[in-house]
Amino acid sequence: MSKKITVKLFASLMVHLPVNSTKSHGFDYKIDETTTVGFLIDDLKLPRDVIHIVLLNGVYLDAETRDAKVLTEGDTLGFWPPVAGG
Amino acid sequence: MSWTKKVLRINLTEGTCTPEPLNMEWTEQFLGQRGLATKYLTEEVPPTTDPLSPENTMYMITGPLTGTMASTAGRYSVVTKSPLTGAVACSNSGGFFGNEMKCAGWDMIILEGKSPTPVYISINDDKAEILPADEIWGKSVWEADEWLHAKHQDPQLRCAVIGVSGEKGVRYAAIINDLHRAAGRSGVGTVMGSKNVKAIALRGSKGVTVNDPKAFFEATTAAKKILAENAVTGEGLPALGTQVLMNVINEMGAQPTHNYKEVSFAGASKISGEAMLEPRESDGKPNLTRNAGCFACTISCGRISTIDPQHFSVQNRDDLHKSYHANSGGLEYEAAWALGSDTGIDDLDALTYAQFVCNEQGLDPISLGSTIAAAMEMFEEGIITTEDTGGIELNFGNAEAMIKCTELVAIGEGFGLELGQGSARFCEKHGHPELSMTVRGQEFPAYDPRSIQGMGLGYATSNRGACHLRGYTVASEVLGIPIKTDPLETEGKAGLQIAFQNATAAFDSAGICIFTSFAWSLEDVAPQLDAAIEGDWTPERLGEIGERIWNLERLYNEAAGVGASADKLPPRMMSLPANTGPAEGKVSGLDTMLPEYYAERGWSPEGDVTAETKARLGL
Repeated sequence: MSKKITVKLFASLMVHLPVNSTKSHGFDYKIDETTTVGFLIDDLKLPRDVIHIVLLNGVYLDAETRDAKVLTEGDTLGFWPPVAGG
Repeated sequence: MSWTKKVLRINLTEGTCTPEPLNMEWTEQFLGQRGLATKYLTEEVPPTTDPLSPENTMYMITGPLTGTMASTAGRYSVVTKSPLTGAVACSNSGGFFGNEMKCAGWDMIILEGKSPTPVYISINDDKAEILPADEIWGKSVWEADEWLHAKHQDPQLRCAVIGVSGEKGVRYAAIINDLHRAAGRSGVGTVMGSKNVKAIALRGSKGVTVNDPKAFFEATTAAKKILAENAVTGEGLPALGTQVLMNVINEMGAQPTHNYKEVSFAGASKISGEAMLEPRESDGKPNLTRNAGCFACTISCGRISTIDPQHFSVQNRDDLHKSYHANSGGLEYEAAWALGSDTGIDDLDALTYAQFVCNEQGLDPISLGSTIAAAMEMFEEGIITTEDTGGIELNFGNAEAMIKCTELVAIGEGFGLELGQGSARFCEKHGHPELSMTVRGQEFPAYDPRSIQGMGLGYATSNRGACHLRGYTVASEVLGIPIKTDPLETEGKAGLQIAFQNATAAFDSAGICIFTSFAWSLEDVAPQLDAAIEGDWTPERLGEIGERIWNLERLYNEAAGVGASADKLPPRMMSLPANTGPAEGKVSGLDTMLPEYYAERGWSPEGDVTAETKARLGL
């Protein structure tokens, strides 16, 4: 059985959601033992110049090291453009 | 220069309006707006004054950039002693009122004493009058605003008004200008109501001049370019507003839920900024109509929205003001979390309706939502019953109950007036003060201190009580502005909070919006001030002024009895660990951060401002 994670796209990155995604911004994505965040970004054709906040299970991944981060079964990976509020 | 150098002092007891010169010496030390009015407060209102007595004074004040072409330069502040906290209150608002005040020729309007009967203040350039308000006393902000425009036959009239909540003594009543912009926190509207003042309606035709027009044009243009090119201020905030944070904060496990028992909310995405863009089934329209900007703003983060016409809150409600069936301001993130996740309600239209009520009757939605959430917890625990609530089944997740409570607080009646005393007084009255999520009696904003450690320190030390707008380290700890820090770490957070607190005090005293600080530093503010007013204005000087203001506020609070003894978080933050997410198992590290904070502030180990620090800052 293949392994999978949940990918979530928010704000202006929602235009990159697959057509079958749910209202909670998420969709399943199949991985193997070697799938990295960097591979996923390129595979989904997410715009690197727009991605700013990346949370893996709620934990921030910094821009320098995130590409090499290997994903594991059941992870939730969220992407945001630069956002702020208050 | 962009100061008018004129103050309008209104003595409501005597019925007099008297011009006086602005204390320009104090502007050198405290700049304007927040800092300058706090200086006036400390000189004129003894710290032990009863906030709702005629001896309290209210200062409506602009900053040096207010009314100029600098981006976001429409701000004004209301400074007084707070009836919610007993501490210094300073609430900042945008819209178009502050710039109009400056254009009428006044840097500041002071309300002192108490009118024997309900009145409003009419200002048309130099002419100021105290006029009867009998016809609008008991009316909502929206009704009063319409009446004032009709009476004065001036579509350009700018009005700052209190709702019925402020008349009735709800302790977190706001002052609303331009129908939906608020000087929202700490009960500044309650103080205005206690003086029997319903509104200030003003019109200015004088314009604002600057010291060096060419340099000012260059400085403001360069600063606007920074805002336009910054991804947050140029794209993120106009597109989704503050509500874009709902999903970010929830996904990282910092979303206050069920009166801060939990740190994530299953319904968050249904009440988020993204959800406001989704077409609804009834009429195919999204909740969000458009974004909106205040005077001179080149960011335009504001939301203008509608409520689903088939939603129970408005359907077949002919009794409501017509704006409930059309547009008003909101939903903003702080209203959405407090009235939503904190109460367990994931009904976007119910939250939008409640925010509209806050606009119409002048309420702080943060204090309102947080107080209702505390009451919900007490109801579920059996501490209060329907006998206390007037028959309302006040369970978490009950949108009808939240709306009923909101409507009752808005008019200060029955159970609503009890909730209107705020979470601290409500929980104390029912024997469970530990269930109140407050500091200095003011309700927490939208970030859990167990998951974002720097914010816990910020709440505990905030001079106006728990607040996100005094030191918004979320920018660094979550959003990576200007640099990313780890939200779960306590190390370094004392210095980070102090840097944010000092800079924010300077921004708040300049006449501009704090949201510019997502893109600007004091390096960008200084050249604009330097060209607008006399004197040499450097980033270093502004940083020192920010520190001076912070310490001045602290000294006032110490004398008012809400100094170091009030630097603490509710026991829940210190003993109930976060239940999920990256912070799972963690409590606030305030005990570690606070001694560092005192030391880095140059205060005593007990948290008192030392003589050395006072001397260094010229206090």
